Amino acid sequence: MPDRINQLQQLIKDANNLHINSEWLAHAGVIEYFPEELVITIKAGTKISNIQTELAKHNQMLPFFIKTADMSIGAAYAQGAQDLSDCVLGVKIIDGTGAYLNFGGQVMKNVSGYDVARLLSGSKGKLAVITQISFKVMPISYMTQLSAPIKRATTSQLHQHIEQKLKQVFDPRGIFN
Amino acid sequence: MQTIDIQNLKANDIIRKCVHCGFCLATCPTYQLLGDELDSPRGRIYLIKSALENHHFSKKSIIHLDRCLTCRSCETTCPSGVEYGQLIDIGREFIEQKRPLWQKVYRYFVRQFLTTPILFNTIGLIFRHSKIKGKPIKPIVKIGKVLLLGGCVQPVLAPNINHSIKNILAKLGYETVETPQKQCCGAVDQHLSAGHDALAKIKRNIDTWLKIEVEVIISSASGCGLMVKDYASMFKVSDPYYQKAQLIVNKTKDIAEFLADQDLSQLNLEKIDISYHEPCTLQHGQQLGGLVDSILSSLGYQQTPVVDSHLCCGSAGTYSIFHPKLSQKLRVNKLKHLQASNPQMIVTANIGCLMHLQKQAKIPVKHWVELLDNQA
Amino acid sequence: MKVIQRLLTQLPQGIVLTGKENTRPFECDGLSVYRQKPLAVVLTENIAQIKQVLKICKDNNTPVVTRGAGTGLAGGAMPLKNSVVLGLSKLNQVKSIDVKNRLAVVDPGVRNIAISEAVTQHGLYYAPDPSSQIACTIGGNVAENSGGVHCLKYGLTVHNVEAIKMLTIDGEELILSRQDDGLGLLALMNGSEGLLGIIIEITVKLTPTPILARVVMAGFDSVRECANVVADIIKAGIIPAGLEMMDSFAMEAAEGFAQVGYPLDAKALLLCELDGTQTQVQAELDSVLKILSDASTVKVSESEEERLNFWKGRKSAFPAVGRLSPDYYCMDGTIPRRHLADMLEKINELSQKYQLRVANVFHAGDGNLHPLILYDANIEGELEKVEEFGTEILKLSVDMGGTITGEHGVGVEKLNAMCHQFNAKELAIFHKIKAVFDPKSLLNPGKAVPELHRCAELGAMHVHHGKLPHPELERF
Repeated sequence: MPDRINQLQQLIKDANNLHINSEWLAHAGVIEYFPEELVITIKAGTKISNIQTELAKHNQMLPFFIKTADMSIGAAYAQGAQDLSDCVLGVKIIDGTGAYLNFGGQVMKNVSGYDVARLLSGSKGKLAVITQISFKVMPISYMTQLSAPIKRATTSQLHQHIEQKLKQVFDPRGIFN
Repeated sequence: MQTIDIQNLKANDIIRKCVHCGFCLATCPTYQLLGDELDSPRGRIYLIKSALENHHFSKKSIIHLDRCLTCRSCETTCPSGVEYGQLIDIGREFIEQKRPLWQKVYRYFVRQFLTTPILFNTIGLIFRHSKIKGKPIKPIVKIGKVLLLGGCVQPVLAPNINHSIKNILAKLGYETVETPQKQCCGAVDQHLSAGHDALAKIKRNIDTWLKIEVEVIISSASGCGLMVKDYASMFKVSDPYYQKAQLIVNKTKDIAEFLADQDLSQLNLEKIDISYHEPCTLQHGQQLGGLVDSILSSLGYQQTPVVDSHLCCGSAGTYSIFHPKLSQKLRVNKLKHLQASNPQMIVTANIGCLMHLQKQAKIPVKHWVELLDNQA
Repeated sequence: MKVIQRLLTQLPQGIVLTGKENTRPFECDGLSVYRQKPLAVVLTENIAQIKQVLKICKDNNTPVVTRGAGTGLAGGAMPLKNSVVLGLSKLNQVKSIDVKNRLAVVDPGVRNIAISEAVTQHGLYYAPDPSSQIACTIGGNVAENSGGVHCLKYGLTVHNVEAIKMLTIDGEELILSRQDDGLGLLALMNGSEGLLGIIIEITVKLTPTPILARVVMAGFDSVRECANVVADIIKAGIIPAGLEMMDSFAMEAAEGFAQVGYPLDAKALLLCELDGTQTQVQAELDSVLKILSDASTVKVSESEEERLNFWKGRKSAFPAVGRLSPDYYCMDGTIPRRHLADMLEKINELSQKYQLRVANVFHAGDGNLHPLILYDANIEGELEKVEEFGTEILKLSVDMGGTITGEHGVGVEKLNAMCHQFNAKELAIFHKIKAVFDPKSLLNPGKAVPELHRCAELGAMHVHHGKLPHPELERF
């Protein structure tokens, strides 16, 4: 697996223009799952339905609204949603310079450094390549009806300006689109 | 000089206990009103520390130390056990040297006025809150004798309080000896940085009261009761007065503590909707929070919990005289919460709170023991 | 100083504190070992004044340190040299309550518990409850992403904030909401320790007060047994509202203040809160009691008063340790729960190695540990010994797959430990993020993220996978 990461790093270093999707990423599977910790760590290209099957064996589930399980977890993360972001504990990413970076972890409580793991949720694949994500999961019995989260595009110029600047932090060469 | 050193050592011990957690900010009435940490216990501890350590202090510190109500709400909140009440007295005495002369004169006058019966009584009568109601009752069977602290201003302002207590005690079989007005507990001096005068009064009281053969000394004003309970801490352990003070302290009880152990079923109650204001000196100083509540409940008085019942009403001894603005703000808040349940009467357990609240309350404010001596 | 002059002339009298005497009480927050007097403290009364302060500071290149109640435990609100402290404690109004949508709009200086008090009549409360909740402000909670004893089930601050209004260093207003489509800027602001902006208004989510809540208090003969029970409870599919552990030493301190009736002869104490409807609580209670069959003592709260009393000891445990020792140093590492018992044994070994006593208090449910190292600052060299001890604990936390700080924040205290958790490239990203918001680095500069040269000098740069016990596993 570290080989695939090396490959990806190289691909990114060499690229001028990249559109990330699950096929391109080709990086799937559960890395670690500790039911008694309520934590699962997954490669970003893993299909949500596969994760659900794994979790169901322990009467647990991803505690956020899933529109379609026929999509990779990385894609769902990139689209972003409040309830999904709430469950993110950590991510590993490759930024636009090809650097392999780790933010957050596998624990529920973590305030070391800025919360990049949640910042990048909703980044639409334009800031970095997400290679793996750790989520907090819940026992099925504790979940109530989940509904689709509301999303609103921001109209604030300042807000848009900040998002632009943040893209430059992660993707200084502007290769992800 | 030596006394300063001893005080310094004591202050150091107290200050070292503070871990700077800031919990006290939450329950400090002045911080809640002003939002300035210099007007919080943690900030004042810092000011006192600076003053004692390197004498860097000016009028600025005096303002913030003066603004403290000495309600000791912070002591109830403090998990580290900082004895803030003792510290602020040390701090105030220390900074007194920088106090402007006119303030010293003013404070001296107020102090003397309140604690000298001959001065207070004539003017005090104008402000009289209530007269004695009903006749005195004599005990039928005598099972004991108690000493009742008369207080310095209470006999003039609200003589019915101790009158009621004497009647209640008589019904319970106790004979009462009341201390004369001039035997003030010393609290007014103590809290106005006149430790010397306070100590003279304390020693005189100890000597006098030890001569009276009683098992219990009862206080009906929680402020005085607290002061008397603190008598021993005024002396070094090696001082002969320490032991004597300890004897007094051991005998002293608030009237609530005394009545809590008695069968009150034979008393005539005044049936009325009440709201109870717990004085700081009772809940934070004497740490008897909830006791009066439980007695009143057991007697059938239904009460709705009062919001912010841990906060001071603004009376705080002479505070209402020196800091009228803050004092009034606290009173407005307190009365709002006390009257939220539309009671017919407010009851409390200290003459200071009683007089202070009555000034603005539209309903009568009384000492709760007066409810238990209904002669109507 | 020009900046002081401008503050004094342009802001109302009385809200600007200057001079040694008046600024010294602000020289530290809840972590009093690190101290620094500011140039001035401004206790602002409205947003316009905050903007004014920011403008004056920006014009003079003066750092700004935002402060709420100053209860933080990592030095986040400790003033910096030649800085201005921007106090928000006077902005303390609950502005509006939306019962239907379970939201409240509040000023940054509102105390955490005051929110719950304001909405209790509607059967609601604000869920995150750091131990300092009676005093700490909601603005500070957002800046630190505070946790508490109930966040296992109800989440951290970041999960309970719907929106914020903040000011950038330029004084521009920015509104961030959970509903924003795009980057997670709201989440970024949570836990940003005052480095990115000034939070001036918060919309918090409110939670319905559970119909019933009961706490099970159990004593154990060994810490390991207690730690294992924690894992068993979660394994059984139960998410307690709170799941807390204390060792005998911490218990003794807490009991001294709160007189709860903790089982003082036990080696470890577990507090497990269950909430919900009558049936839910009963069902969970039955399962938990079964799991607790080996405990030396078990007691279940029978009234709301008793339940709060059980918590009172726990919530005052830190400062109560002030009764046992002149000083203490509080750690905040988080580890995966499965390593709990191992960690406790390690701490015990270290305690003997350094000859320093440790009282352990922790949020067992989420693996967040608060070992309190007891010492006496008046003994020369003792603080250095404590810091070394602490660093070892934090390194262990990282090596076990955890983090150096679960809820207290990095502040000034854990800057060195940050070098162990993040590599140079990751730290560089953090610095660049700050520069997006605050290019001149005037907001709480130097806190939370260490300068790269600091880590290099320390020689403690992030240990890479090769050196860890199981190199074949990918780690965090």
